[in-house]
Amino acid sequence: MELLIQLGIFLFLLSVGYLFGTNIEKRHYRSIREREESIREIPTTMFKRPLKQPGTIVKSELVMGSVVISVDYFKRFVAGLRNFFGGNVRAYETLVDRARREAVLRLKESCPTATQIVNLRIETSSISKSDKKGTVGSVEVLAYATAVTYRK
Amino acid sequence: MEFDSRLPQDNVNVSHEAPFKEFVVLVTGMLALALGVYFILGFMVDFAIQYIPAKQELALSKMIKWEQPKADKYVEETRYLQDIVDDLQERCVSLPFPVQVHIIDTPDVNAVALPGGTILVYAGLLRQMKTENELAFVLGHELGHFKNRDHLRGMGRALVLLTMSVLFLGSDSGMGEVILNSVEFVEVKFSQNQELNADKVGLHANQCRYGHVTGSGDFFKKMVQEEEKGDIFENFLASHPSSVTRIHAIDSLALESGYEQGDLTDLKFKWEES
Repeated sequence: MELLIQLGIFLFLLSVGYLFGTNIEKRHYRSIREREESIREIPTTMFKRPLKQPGTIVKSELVMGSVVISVDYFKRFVAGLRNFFGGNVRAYETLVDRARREAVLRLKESCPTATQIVNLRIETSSISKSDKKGTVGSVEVLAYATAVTYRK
Repeated sequence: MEFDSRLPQDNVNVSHEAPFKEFVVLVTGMLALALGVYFILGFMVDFAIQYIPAKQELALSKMIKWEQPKADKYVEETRYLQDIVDDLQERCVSLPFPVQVHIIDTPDVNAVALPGGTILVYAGLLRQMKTENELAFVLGHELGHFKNRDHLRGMGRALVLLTMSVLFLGSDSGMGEVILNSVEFVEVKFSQNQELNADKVGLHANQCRYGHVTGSGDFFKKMVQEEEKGDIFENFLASHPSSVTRIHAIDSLALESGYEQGDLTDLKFKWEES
Protein backbone atom coordinates (compact mmCIF):
# COMPACT_ATOMS: atom_id res chain seq x y z
CA MET A 1 0.00 0.00 0.00
CA GLU A 2 2.75 2.39 1.02
CA LEU A 3 4.55 1.41 -2.13
CA LEU A 4 1.50 2.25 -4.23
CA ILE A 5 1.16 5.66 -2.59
CA GLN A 6 4.81 6.42 -3.27
CA LEU A 7 4.43 5.29 -6.85
CA GLY A 8 1.30 7.42 -7.18
CA ILE A 9 3.07 10.52 -5.87
CA PHE A 10 5.96 9.86 -8.22
CA LEU A 11 3.70 9.47 -11.27
CA PHE A 12 1.79 12.59 -10.26
CA LEU A 13 4.98 14.65 -10.03
CA LEU A 14 6.15 13.19 -13.31
CA SER A 15 2.97 14.12 -15.18
CA VAL A 16 2.79 17.57 -13.58
CA GLY A 17 6.42 18.13 -14.59
CA TYR A 18 5.70 16.93 -18.11
CA LEU A 19 2.54 18.99 -18.66
CA PHE A 20 3.85 22.22 -17.17
CA GLY A 21 7.35 21.79 -18.54
CA THR A 22 6.13 21.19 -22.09
CA ASN A 23 3.68 24.07 -21.93
CA ILE A 24 6.23 26.54 -20.59
CA GLU A 25 8.80 25.42 -23.12
CA LYS A 26 6.40 25.88 -26.03
CA ARG A 27 5.48 29.37 -24.90
CA HIS A 28 9.10 30.28 -24.33
CA TYR A 29 10.14 29.15 -27.79
CA ARG A 30 7.31 31.13 -29.35
CA SER A 31 8.43 34.25 -27.51
CA ILE A 32 12.08 33.64 -28.40
CA ARG A 33 11.27 33.31 -32.11
CA GLU A 34 9.16 36.48 -32.16
CA ARG A 35 11.75 38.56 -30.31
CA GLU A 36 14.65 37.25 -32.40
CA GLU A 37 12.75 38.27 -35.51
CA SER A 38 12.02 41.75 -34.20
CA ILE A 39 15.56 42.46 -33.09
CA ARG A 40 17.59 40.73 -35.77
CA GLU A 41 18.49 43.99 -37.56
CA ILE A 42 21.30 44.78 -35.07
CA PRO A 43 24.43 43.01 -36.40
CA THR A 44 25.87 40.83 -33.67
CA THR A 45 29.27 39.18 -34.09
CA MET A 46 32.03 37.52 -32.17
CA PHE A 47 34.66 39.69 -33.89
CA LYS A 48 37.02 41.85 -31.87
CA ARG A 49 36.47 44.87 -34.13
CA PRO A 50 33.20 46.25 -35.49
CA LEU A 51 32.21 45.57 -39.07
CA LYS A 52 33.19 48.44 -41.36
CA GLN A 53 30.51 50.99 -41.69
CA PRO A 54 30.21 54.72 -42.42
CA GLY A 55 30.31 57.22 -39.56
CA THR A 56 32.22 57.47 -36.31
CA ILE A 57 31.85 55.61 -33.06
CA VAL A 58 30.28 57.78 -30.43
CA LYS A 59 29.61 55.23 -27.75
CA SER A 60 30.83 51.78 -26.82
CA GLU A 61 29.70 49.99 -23.70
CA LEU A 62 29.67 46.63 -21.98
CA VAL A 63 26.32 44.93 -22.22
CA MET A 64 25.16 41.76 -20.48
CA GLY A 65 22.22 39.44 -20.51
CA SER A 66 21.76 36.52 -18.24
CA VAL A 67 19.05 33.99 -17.53
CA VAL A 68 18.50 31.10 -15.14
CA ILE A 69 16.23 28.28 -16.30
CA SER A 70 15.21 25.33 -14.20
CA VAL A 71 14.67 21.80 -15.33
CA ASP A 72 11.29 20.20 -14.69
CA TYR A 73 10.72 16.95 -12.81
CA PHE A 74 10.05 14.95 -15.97
CA LYS A 75 13.20 16.14 -17.74
CA ARG A 76 15.30 15.52 -14.70
CA PHE A 77 13.98 11.95 -14.43
CA VAL A 78 14.60 11.19 -18.11
CA ALA A 79 18.08 12.69 -17.87
CA GLY A 80 18.71 10.55 -14.77
CA LEU A 81 17.82 7.42 -16.73
CA ARG A 82 20.01 8.65 -19.58
CA ASN A 83 22.81 8.97 -17.05
CA PHE A 84 22.61 5.23 -16.57
CA PHE A 85 22.67 4.14 -20.19
CA GLY A 86 24.73 6.97 -21.67
CA GLY A 87 24.17 8.85 -24.91
CA ASN A 88 22.82 12.27 -25.85
CA VAL A 89 20.91 13.87 -23.01
CA ARG A 90 18.18 15.08 -25.32
CA ALA A 91 15.99 16.16 -22.44
CA TYR A 92 18.46 18.90 -21.53
CA GLU A 93 19.16 20.11 -25.07
CA THR A 94 16.13 22.38 -25.28
CA LEU A 95 16.87 23.67 -21.80
CA VAL A 96 20.35 24.92 -22.70
CA ASP A 97 19.24 26.12 -26.12
CA ARG A 98 16.47 28.22 -24.62
CA ALA A 99 18.83 29.65 -22.00
CA ARG A 100 21.47 30.60 -24.59
CA ARG A 101 19.05 32.30 -26.91
CA GLU A 102 17.20 34.06 -24.11
CA ALA A 103 20.47 35.43 -22.68
CA VAL A 104 21.53 36.84 -26.06
CA LEU A 105 18.07 38.28 -26.58
CA ARG A 106 18.15 40.03 -23.21
CA LEU A 107 21.60 41.37 -24.04
CA LYS A 108 20.37 42.82 -27.33
CA GLU A 109 17.22 44.17 -25.75
CA SER A 110 19.33 46.02 -23.19
CA CYS A 111 20.80 48.24 -25.95
CA PRO A 112 18.11 48.74 -28.61
CA THR A 113 19.81 51.90 -29.96
CA ALA A 114 23.20 50.26 -30.58
CA THR A 115 24.44 50.05 -34.16
CA GLN A 116 26.45 46.88 -33.68
CA ILE A 117 27.20 44.35 -31.02
CA VAL A 118 30.71 42.91 -31.16
CA ASN A 119 32.85 40.50 -29.19
CA LEU A 120 29.89 38.46 -27.99
CA ARG A 121 30.79 35.79 -25.43
CA ILE A 122 28.57 33.18 -23.83
CA GLU A 123 29.24 31.47 -20.50
CA THR A 124 27.29 28.59 -19.02
CA SER A 125 27.24 27.42 -15.45
CA SER A 126 25.00 25.04 -13.61
CA ILE A 127 23.44 26.15 -10.37
CA SER A 128 23.41 23.45 -7.66
CA LYS A 129 25.33 20.65 -9.28
CA SER A 130 24.36 17.99 -6.75
CA ASP A 131 21.22 16.03 -7.47
CA LYS A 132 20.39 15.65 -3.79
CA LYS A 133 16.83 16.03 -2.63
CA GLY A 134 15.64 19.56 -2.07
CA THR A 135 18.13 21.25 -4.37
CA VAL A 136 17.08 22.81 -7.66
CA GLY A 137 18.81 21.75 -10.85
CA SER A 138 19.05 24.77 -13.10
CA VAL A 139 21.32 26.30 -15.68
CA GLU A 140 22.58 29.86 -15.87
CA VAL A 141 23.70 31.38 -19.15
CA LEU A 142 25.49 34.72 -19.21
CA ALA A 143 26.06 36.56 -22.48
CA TYR A 144 28.29 39.64 -22.55
CA ALA A 145 29.48 41.81 -25.40
CA THR A 146 30.40 45.32 -26.47
CA ALA A 147 27.62 47.48 -27.89
CA VAL A 148 28.92 50.06 -30.34
CA THR A 149 26.93 53.09 -31.47
CA TYR A 150 27.85 55.01 -34.66
CA ARG A 151 26.87 58.44 -35.81
CA LYS A 152 27.03 59.55 -39.43
CA MET B 1 31.80 42.20 -45.97
CA GLU B 2 28.07 42.68 -46.22
CA PHE B 3 26.05 41.89 -43.11
CA ASP B 4 23.03 39.81 -43.92
CA SER B 5 20.63 39.46 -41.03
CA ARG B 6 18.72 36.22 -41.34
CA LEU B 7 17.60 33.76 -38.77
CA PRO B 8 18.52 30.09 -39.26
CA GLN B 9 15.78 27.98 -40.80
CA ASP B 10 16.26 25.00 -38.53
CA ASN B 11 17.50 24.60 -34.99
CA VAL B 12 20.31 22.07 -35.13
CA ASN B 13 21.02 22.23 -31.43
CA VAL B 14 17.96 20.36 -30.23
CA SER B 15 16.63 16.95 -31.17
CA HIS B 16 13.19 17.00 -32.68
CA GLU B 17 12.20 13.68 -31.23
CA ALA B 18 9.33 13.69 -28.77
CA PRO B 19 10.66 13.62 -25.21
CA PHE B 20 7.94 11.17 -24.24
CA LYS B 21 9.31 8.58 -26.66
CA GLU B 22 12.72 8.77 -25.05
CA PHE B 23 11.05 8.38 -21.67
CA VAL B 24 9.20 5.24 -22.74
CA VAL B 25 12.30 3.68 -24.30
CA LEU B 26 14.46 4.40 -21.26
CA VAL B 27 11.89 3.23 -18.70
CA THR B 28 11.26 0.02 -20.64
CA GLY B 29 14.99 -0.63 -20.85
CA MET B 30 15.42 0.07 -17.15
CA LEU B 31 12.56 -2.22 -16.16
CA ALA B 32 13.84 -5.02 -18.37
CA LEU B 33 17.28 -4.64 -16.86
CA ALA B 34 15.92 -4.56 -13.30
CA LEU B 35 13.78 -7.65 -13.90
CA GLY B 36 16.70 -9.50 -15.43
CA VAL B 37 18.98 -8.65 -12.51
CA TYR B 38 16.26 -9.57 -10.03
CA PHE B 39 15.73 -12.99 -11.56
CA ILE B 40 19.41 -13.76 -11.89
CA LEU B 41 20.12 -12.68 -8.32
CA GLY B 42 17.03 -14.59 -7.20
CA PHE B 43 18.38 -17.80 -8.72
CA MET B 44 21.73 -17.12 -7.12
CA VAL B 45 20.00 -16.74 -3.75
CA ASP B 46 18.23 -20.07 -4.24
CA PHE B 47 21.57 -21.63 -5.04
CA ALA B 48 23.42 -20.00 -2.16
CA ILE B 49 21.03 -20.77 0.69
CA GLN B 50 21.90 -24.45 0.80
CA TYR B 51 25.41 -23.48 1.88
CA ILE B 52 24.37 -21.19 4.72
CA PRO B 53 24.94 -22.88 8.09
CA ALA B 54 22.06 -23.11 10.58
CA LYS B 55 23.89 -20.86 13.04
CA GLN B 56 24.04 -18.14 10.43
CA GLU B 57 20.38 -18.63 9.62
CA LEU B 58 19.43 -18.04 13.25
CA ALA B 59 21.61 -14.95 13.45
CA LEU B 60 19.98 -13.58 10.30
CA SER B 61 16.52 -14.34 11.65
CA LYS B 62 17.19 -12.17 14.68
CA MET B 63 17.53 -9.18 12.38
CA ILE B 64 13.86 -9.36 11.55
CA LYS B 65 11.57 -7.67 14.00
CA TRP B 66 8.17 -9.11 14.67
CA GLU B 67 5.72 -8.68 17.46
CA GLN B 68 6.48 -11.07 20.30
CA PRO B 69 3.32 -13.01 21.15
CA LYS B 70 1.85 -12.21 24.55
CA ALA B 71 1.94 -14.77 27.32
CA ASP B 72 -0.06 -17.71 26.08
CA LYS B 73 -3.61 -17.80 27.29
CA TYR B 74 -4.03 -21.44 26.34
CA VAL B 75 -1.31 -23.18 28.32
CA GLU B 76 -2.71 -26.69 27.94
CA GLU B 77 -3.40 -26.39 24.24
CA THR B 78 -0.02 -24.82 23.56
CA ARG B 79 1.73 -27.66 25.35
CA TYR B 80 -0.26 -30.16 23.30
CA LEU B 81 0.75 -28.48 20.02
CA GLN B 82 4.33 -28.23 21.27
CA ASP B 83 4.36 -31.97 22.03
CA ILE B 84 3.24 -32.76 18.49
CA VAL B 85 5.90 -30.45 17.03
CA ASP B 86 8.60 -31.89 19.30
CA ASP B 87 7.64 -35.41 18.31
CA LEU B 88 7.62 -34.55 14.60
CA GLN B 89 10.98 -32.84 14.93
CA GLU B 90 12.49 -35.75 16.81
CA ARG B 91 11.32 -38.53 14.52
CA CYS B 92 10.24 -37.13 11.19
CA VAL B 93 11.44 -33.64 10.24
CA SER B 94 14.99 -33.05 11.37
CA LEU B 95 15.84 -29.40 11.94
CA PRO B 96 19.08 -27.95 13.30
CA PHE B 97 17.23 -25.76 15.83
CA PRO B 98 14.27 -26.12 18.23
CA VAL B 99 10.85 -24.84 17.20
CA GLN B 100 8.46 -23.01 19.54
CA VAL B 101 4.69 -22.96 19.11
CA HIS B 102 2.47 -20.08 20.22
CA ILE B 103 -1.28 -19.75 20.00
CA ILE B 104 -2.55 -16.32 19.00
CA ASP B 105 -6.05 -15.51 20.13
CA THR B 106 -7.52 -14.08 16.95
CA PRO B 107 -10.21 -15.50 14.66
CA ASP B 108 -7.81 -15.70 11.67
CA VAL B 109 -7.74 -19.12 10.04
CA ASN B 110 -4.01 -19.27 9.57
CA ALA B 111 -0.69 -20.50 10.89
CA VAL B 112 2.62 -18.75 10.31
CA ALA B 113 6.22 -19.92 10.48
CA LEU B 114 8.42 -17.05 11.62
CA PRO B 115 12.13 -17.01 10.89
CA GLY B 116 14.23 -18.40 13.72
CA GLY B 117 11.99 -21.28 14.71
CA THR B 118 8.63 -19.91 15.87
CA ILE B 119 5.26 -21.15 14.72
CA LEU B 120 2.20 -18.99 15.35
CA VAL B 121 -1.10 -20.83 15.25
CA TYR B 122 -4.20 -18.62 15.21
CA ALA B 123 -7.18 -19.63 17.31
CA GLY B 124 -9.48 -19.46 14.30
CA LEU B 125 -7.54 -22.30 12.70
CA LEU B 126 -7.72 -24.49 15.81
CA ARG B 127 -11.46 -23.96 15.85
CA GLN B 128 -11.64 -25.59 12.41
CA MET B 129 -9.65 -28.66 13.44
CA LYS B 130 -11.55 -31.91 13.96
CA THR B 131 -8.80 -34.53 14.20
CA GLU B 132 -5.21 -34.61 15.36
CA ASN B 133 -4.17 -35.76 11.91
CA GLU B 134 -5.11 -32.56 10.18
CA LEU B 135 -3.58 -30.50 12.99
CA ALA B 136 -0.33 -32.47 12.73
CA PHE B 137 -0.36 -31.90 8.98
CA VAL B 138 -0.60 -28.13 9.43
CA LEU B 139 2.24 -28.18 11.98
CA GLY B 140 4.28 -30.44 9.70
CA HIS B 141 3.62 -28.01 6.87
CA GLU B 142 5.05 -25.14 8.93
CA LEU B 143 8.05 -27.28 9.89
CA GLY B 144 8.45 -27.86 6.15
CA HIS B 145 9.00 -24.12 5.69
CA PHE B 146 11.88 -24.33 8.16
CA LYS B 147 13.24 -27.47 6.54
CA ASN B 148 13.13 -25.97 3.04
CA ARG B 149 14.72 -22.79 4.42
CA ASP B 150 11.99 -20.70 2.86
CA HIS B 151 12.74 -17.80 5.20
CA LEU B 152 16.27 -17.51 3.93
CA ARG B 153 14.86 -17.55 0.44
CA GLY B 154 12.45 -14.75 1.32
CA MET B 155 15.13 -12.75 3.09
CA GLY B 156 17.49 -13.25 0.17
CA ARG B 157 14.89 -11.94 -2.26
CA ALA B 158 14.16 -8.98 0.00
CA LEU B 159 17.88 -8.27 0.17
CA VAL B 160 18.10 -8.38 -3.60
CA LEU B 161 15.19 -5.93 -3.84
CA LEU B 162 16.81 -3.67 -1.27
CA THR B 163 20.15 -3.68 -3.03
CA MET B 164 18.53 -2.94 -6.35
CA SER B 165 16.45 -0.08 -5.00
CA VAL B 166 19.58 1.52 -3.56
CA LEU B 167 21.46 0.89 -6.80
CA PHE B 168 18.83 2.29 -9.13
CA LEU B 169 17.04 4.84 -6.99
CA GLY B 170 19.69 5.92 -4.50
CA SER B 171 19.94 5.31 -0.77
CA ASP B 172 17.66 8.20 0.17
CA SER B 173 14.80 7.35 -2.13
CA GLY B 174 12.76 5.96 0.76
CA MET B 175 12.17 2.72 -1.11
CA GLY B 176 14.52 0.79 1.17
CA GLU B 177 12.41 1.60 4.18
CA VAL B 178 9.27 0.59 2.35
CA ILE B 179 10.76 -2.80 1.50
CA LEU B 180 12.08 -3.37 5.01
CA ASN B 181 8.77 -2.46 6.59
CA SER B 182 6.66 -4.34 4.11
CA VAL B 183 4.57 -7.19 5.38
CA GLU B 184 6.22 -9.49 2.89
CA PHE B 185 9.51 -9.10 4.65
CA VAL B 186 8.35 -9.49 8.23
CA GLU B 187 5.89 -12.31 7.75
CA VAL B 188 7.69 -13.61 4.70
CA LYS B 189 5.17 -14.43 2.07
CA PHE B 190 6.03 -17.66 0.35
CA SER B 191 5.49 -18.54 -3.24
CA GLN B 192 2.86 -21.09 -4.19
CA ASN B 193 5.58 -23.53 -5.05
CA GLN B 194 7.09 -23.17 -1.60
CA GLU B 195 3.68 -23.83 -0.06
CA LEU B 196 3.28 -27.01 -2.10
CA ASN B 197 6.76 -28.17 -1.11
CA ALA B 198 5.94 -27.51 2.54
CA ASP B 199 2.76 -29.59 2.05
CA LYS B 200 4.97 -32.48 0.95
CA VAL B 201 6.96 -32.27 4.17
CA GLY B 202 3.72 -32.17 6.14
CA LEU B 203 2.46 -35.29 4.37
CA HIS B 204 5.69 -37.20 4.94
CA ALA B 205 5.55 -36.13 8.59
CA ASN B 206 2.03 -37.50 8.99
CA GLN B 207 2.99 -40.81 7.40
CA CYS B 208 5.95 -40.96 9.73
CA ARG B 209 3.99 -40.11 12.88
CA TYR B 210 0.81 -42.08 12.30
CA GLY B 211 1.85 -44.71 9.77
CA HIS B 212 -0.80 -43.43 7.36
CA VAL B 213 -1.88 -40.14 5.76
CA THR B 214 -5.64 -40.23 6.30
CA GLY B 215 -7.00 -36.84 7.33
CA SER B 216 -4.02 -34.88 6.06
CA GLY B 217 -6.00 -32.96 3.50
CA ASP B 218 -9.19 -32.67 5.55
CA PHE B 219 -8.55 -29.07 6.34
CA PHE B 220 -8.35 -28.19 2.66
CA LYS B 221 -11.53 -30.08 1.94
CA LYS B 222 -13.27 -27.79 4.38
CA MET B 223 -11.60 -24.88 2.70
CA VAL B 224 -13.01 -25.85 -0.69
CA GLN B 225 -16.52 -25.58 0.71
CA GLU B 226 -15.72 -22.26 2.30
CA GLU B 227 -13.85 -20.80 -0.62
CA GLU B 228 -17.02 -19.54 -2.27
CA LYS B 229 -18.12 -17.84 0.93
CA GLY B 230 -14.83 -16.06 1.19
CA ASP B 231 -15.28 -14.34 4.57
CA ILE B 232 -12.89 -15.55 7.28
CA PHE B 233 -10.84 -17.61 4.89
CA GLU B 234 -9.81 -14.71 2.72
CA ASN B 235 -6.82 -14.07 4.90
CA PHE B 236 -5.61 -17.60 4.49
CA LEU B 237 -6.26 -17.80 0.77
CA ALA B 238 -4.49 -14.55 0.02
CA SER B 239 -1.09 -16.15 0.50
CA HIS B 240 -1.77 -19.75 -0.41
CA PRO B 241 -2.48 -21.77 -3.55
CA SER B 242 -6.06 -22.83 -4.14
CA SER B 243 -7.19 -25.66 -1.89
CA VAL B 244 -8.24 -27.85 -4.82
CA THR B 245 -4.72 -27.67 -6.21
CA ARG B 246 -3.30 -28.63 -2.87
CA ILE B 247 -5.66 -31.55 -2.33
CA HIS B 248 -4.75 -32.91 -5.77
CA ALA B 249 -1.05 -32.47 -5.05
CA ILE B 250 -1.35 -34.23 -1.69
CA ASP B 251 -3.43 -37.11 -3.11
CA SER B 252 -1.09 -37.75 -6.01
CA LEU B 253 1.96 -37.61 -3.77
CA ALA B 254 0.36 -40.04 -1.31
CA LEU B 255 -0.38 -42.38 -4.21
CA GLU B 256 3.15 -42.10 -5.63
CA SER B 257 4.77 -42.71 -2.28
CA GLY B 258 2.48 -45.69 -1.58
CA TYR B 259 1.20 -44.18 1.64
CA GLU B 260 -1.72 -45.96 3.21
CA GLN B 261 -4.97 -44.94 4.82
CA GLY B 262 -5.75 -45.61 8.47
CA ASP B 263 -7.79 -44.64 11.51
CA LEU B 264 -8.05 -41.02 12.54
CA THR B 265 -6.75 -39.87 15.90
CA ASP B 266 -8.98 -37.64 18.02
CA LEU B 267 -7.88 -34.26 19.25
CA LYS B 268 -6.84 -34.24 22.89
CA PHE B 269 -8.73 -31.04 23.57
CA LYS B 270 -12.01 -29.56 22.62
CA TRP B 271 -11.73 -25.99 21.52
CA GLU B 272 -14.03 -23.87 23.62
CA GLU B 273 -15.81 -21.04 21.88
CA SER B 274 -14.78 -17.85 23.61
